[in-house]
Amino acid sequence: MAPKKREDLKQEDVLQAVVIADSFNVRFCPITEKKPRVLLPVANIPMLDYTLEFLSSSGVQEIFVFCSHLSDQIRTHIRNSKWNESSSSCVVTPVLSEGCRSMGDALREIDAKSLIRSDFVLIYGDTLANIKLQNIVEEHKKRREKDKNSLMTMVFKKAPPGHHTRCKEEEVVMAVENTTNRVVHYRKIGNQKRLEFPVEVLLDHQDVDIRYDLLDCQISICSPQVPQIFTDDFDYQTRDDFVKGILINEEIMGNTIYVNVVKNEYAARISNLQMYDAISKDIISRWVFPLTPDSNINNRENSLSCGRHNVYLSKDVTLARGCILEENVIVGGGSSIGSNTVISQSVIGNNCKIGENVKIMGSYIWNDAVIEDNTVITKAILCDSVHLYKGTTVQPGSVLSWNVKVGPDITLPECVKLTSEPIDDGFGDDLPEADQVTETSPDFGSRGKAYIFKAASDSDDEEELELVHDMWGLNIQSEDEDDISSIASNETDDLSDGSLPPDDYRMFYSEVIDTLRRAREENISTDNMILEVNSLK
Amino acid sequence: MEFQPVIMAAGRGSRMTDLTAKCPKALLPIGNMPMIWYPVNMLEKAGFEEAIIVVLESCQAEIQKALVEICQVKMRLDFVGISEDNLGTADSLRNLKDKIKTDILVVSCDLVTDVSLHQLANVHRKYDSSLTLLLSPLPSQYVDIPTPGVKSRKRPEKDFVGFDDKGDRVLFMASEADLEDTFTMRKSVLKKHPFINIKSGLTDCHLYVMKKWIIDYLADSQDKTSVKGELVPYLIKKQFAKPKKPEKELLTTNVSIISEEVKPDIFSFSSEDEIITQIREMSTWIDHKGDMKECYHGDRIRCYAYVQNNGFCVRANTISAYNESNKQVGSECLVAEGVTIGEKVSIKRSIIGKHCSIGDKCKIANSLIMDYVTVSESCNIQGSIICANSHIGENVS
Repeated sequence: MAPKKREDLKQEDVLQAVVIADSFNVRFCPITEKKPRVLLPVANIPMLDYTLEFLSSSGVQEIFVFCSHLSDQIRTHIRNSKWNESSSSCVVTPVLSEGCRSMGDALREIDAKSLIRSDFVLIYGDTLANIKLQNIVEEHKKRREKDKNSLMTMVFKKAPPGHHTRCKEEEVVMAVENTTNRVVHYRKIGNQKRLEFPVEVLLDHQDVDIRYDLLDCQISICSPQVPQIFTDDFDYQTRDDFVKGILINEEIMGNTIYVNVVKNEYAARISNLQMYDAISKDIISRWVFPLTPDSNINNRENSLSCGRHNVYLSKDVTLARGCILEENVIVGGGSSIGSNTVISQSVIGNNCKIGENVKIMGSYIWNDAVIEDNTVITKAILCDSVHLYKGTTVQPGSVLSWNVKVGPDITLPECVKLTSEPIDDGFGDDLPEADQVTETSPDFGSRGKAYIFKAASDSDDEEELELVHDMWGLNIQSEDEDDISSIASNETDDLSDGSLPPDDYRMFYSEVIDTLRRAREENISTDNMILEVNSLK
Repeated sequence: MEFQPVIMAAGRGSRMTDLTAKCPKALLPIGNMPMIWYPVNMLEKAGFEEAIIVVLESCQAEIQKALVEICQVKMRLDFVGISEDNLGTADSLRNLKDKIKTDILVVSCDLVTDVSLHQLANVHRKYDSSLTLLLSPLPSQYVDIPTPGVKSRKRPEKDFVGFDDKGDRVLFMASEADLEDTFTMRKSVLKKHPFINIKSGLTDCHLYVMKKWIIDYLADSQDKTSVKGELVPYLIKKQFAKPKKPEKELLTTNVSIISEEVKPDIFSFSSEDEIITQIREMSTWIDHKGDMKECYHGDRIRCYAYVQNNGFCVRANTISAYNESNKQVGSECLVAEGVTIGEKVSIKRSIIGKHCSIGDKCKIANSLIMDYVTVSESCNIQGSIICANSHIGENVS
């Protein structure tokens, strides 16, 4: 917080980092209406703390936290954290910008304020990693000495398809030059079944790897030119835009992008609820060491202790007789658990009250929740101060936002998102793509206080919404089967693959059959028929 | 006997017609030995005792004589003559169907290499592969050397070969000419093999180890004529196709089925021994990491390749390659018997055939001179091939 004094240290090559503390999307709605995503607890610690801890432990000395949505909460959080103490090893500066809509905007802002002096680390505020960044930065700098135009090193983690921290939304396929790790082609996969690559990829490079086994950690080491390029080109909104743009203009500008693949270390980004689930489990099972629940990274008074089967308990937890904590469980400080309650694969926050005969499986319950007797919760997220009355059942895939009250004796449908107050407009400015339509419905029990949260379907981005609904709990499984069937039907066209895709054939035939049938019913003349069939081609 | 070697020597040398007008391609001399001697010798060294040689009917006797009498090959050679009009390599294999009892090793007569065949066979055995290829890095000097005879030849076309992460299995093969602007990959293939390494500096040496069922398949489907051009790409592509499920349920009754021609699928040929399948299921060995799928993901056709990293390998199928192979074989100069060389002649990196006479003060460099050539005085011959029975006048350069 004292840039003047730091000025002298500049010569010593201070490593800087820019943390984008906003996701610019609505994956975590409705939870993110009240709290920015980076402050949501993962294993009872806000995500941002993990990111900052990771950065400072890898030698970053100056961090700019860029926040837009609910930025004052982030600022307060940083002010009250250990980073603001004099013993802190790095300086964390919040940068506020309300109008900022994308990562591109953020970098433009940074360029305008000219905060960056040398190579810096660009990272999202919801990233968890234990990578040794020093080596990667070193490598990047060496490469820069040789080639001034190497703009960026993207960090990827090796994760074969089927790896549980692979995010279905962000699957990436790249062509990388084998010897130099230079990126020659980069694309997102989305729902395509066939991927086309330009031939130049092969013609211009002797030895190219096509890589689909990488997980994008969204960590990148950028050269100081990067913010300038963002300023110059207003089209660049995200890093993907940037990478694509750079690769397309490669011949003109001569700029290059490299990758660094980490194998044994951990890195992942909590970009949606599925990832939240996967990464929480990884933290509990200590894959992200030294970032574990008991490592006490944000200096809280009530630290956790780790027991067998990865059961983490705070000191002042009250456990009634006969309650069973199976495995991979965290129970935060001040919580109490009633007798005959079974909890497994779950995180319980601070000051929760859990009654008797409760079953909690694979769920995340944040602070101050009250769960009364005989409730069952599977695979759900319950935010702060949720109250479940007696005999309530929460089925997989549900999200209960702040202060929701449900029950008694109610079974919620699967994959339901509840908020505690009907939301009109007024929130929509910030996140325009999802209008919130809420309606009171009676089926949340006599004492219930909940409204179904729906993202409106008139959004222009259909696919994205689809994903939001599928996101939590239900895996996206359908694509695999389609794939096989398309291959089987492809059998007929042997080597000459260039003809119509099989779906078109099928469409055509069914269309023709329909037409013929109609012709027979309505006695259409043959000439007209021929004309009609020809027009279908 | 594990493999039956088949040497394909029925090529006409269409890429070097200047040289093959008089002499069959298989008998063109490389380092004063007929070309076909090299693959035969390779097989002999590897311990094969017999081989099938596919030749054109018209030159069968000539080749037989050359191999047995002149080169004194001790292997049992079984010559199969094919008629002139039936030239495709796959067609030749089809004709051999009755002779083939085991897996086969197909080798082209123009391959000059010192690769040890057991390494290729090991790859074949290790993965129980359907088709194993020998690939070799394209020597770089080979692209630039001027071609004797014809000027401004096109660069040899690049083949792109995609390997899996271990570098053995061939997942993708395409040549530069076949690709237009883009090349496609199926997502399902990427799922199985998330790491594909595509190399472009490799040439196919036309040395294949094939399972016997491939020949059966060839015999059945008449449309494939060339091994390299059609069969190999087809097999590589079919690796990822799923066998068709037998369509038992008939379509709705109001659609009349005229006659459904049952075309035997390639997968019906590739059926495996039950025991082998069982062994694989019980074994813990697996060829991939990252998921819990069965070994090879249940692919029935699998193509692998052995990449020769050091050593020497040339296919003498074009004039430049032919010239190069000659130079590689005779590392310096090679002068055969019965040659008379005049005074003050300098010969560098050249091969001179039998009974040549070379006049005084000639300079010969980087050239190949075949048998019975007369070179008169003060000639300067550089980087050329001079065919048999030629006469070169004085002071020619």
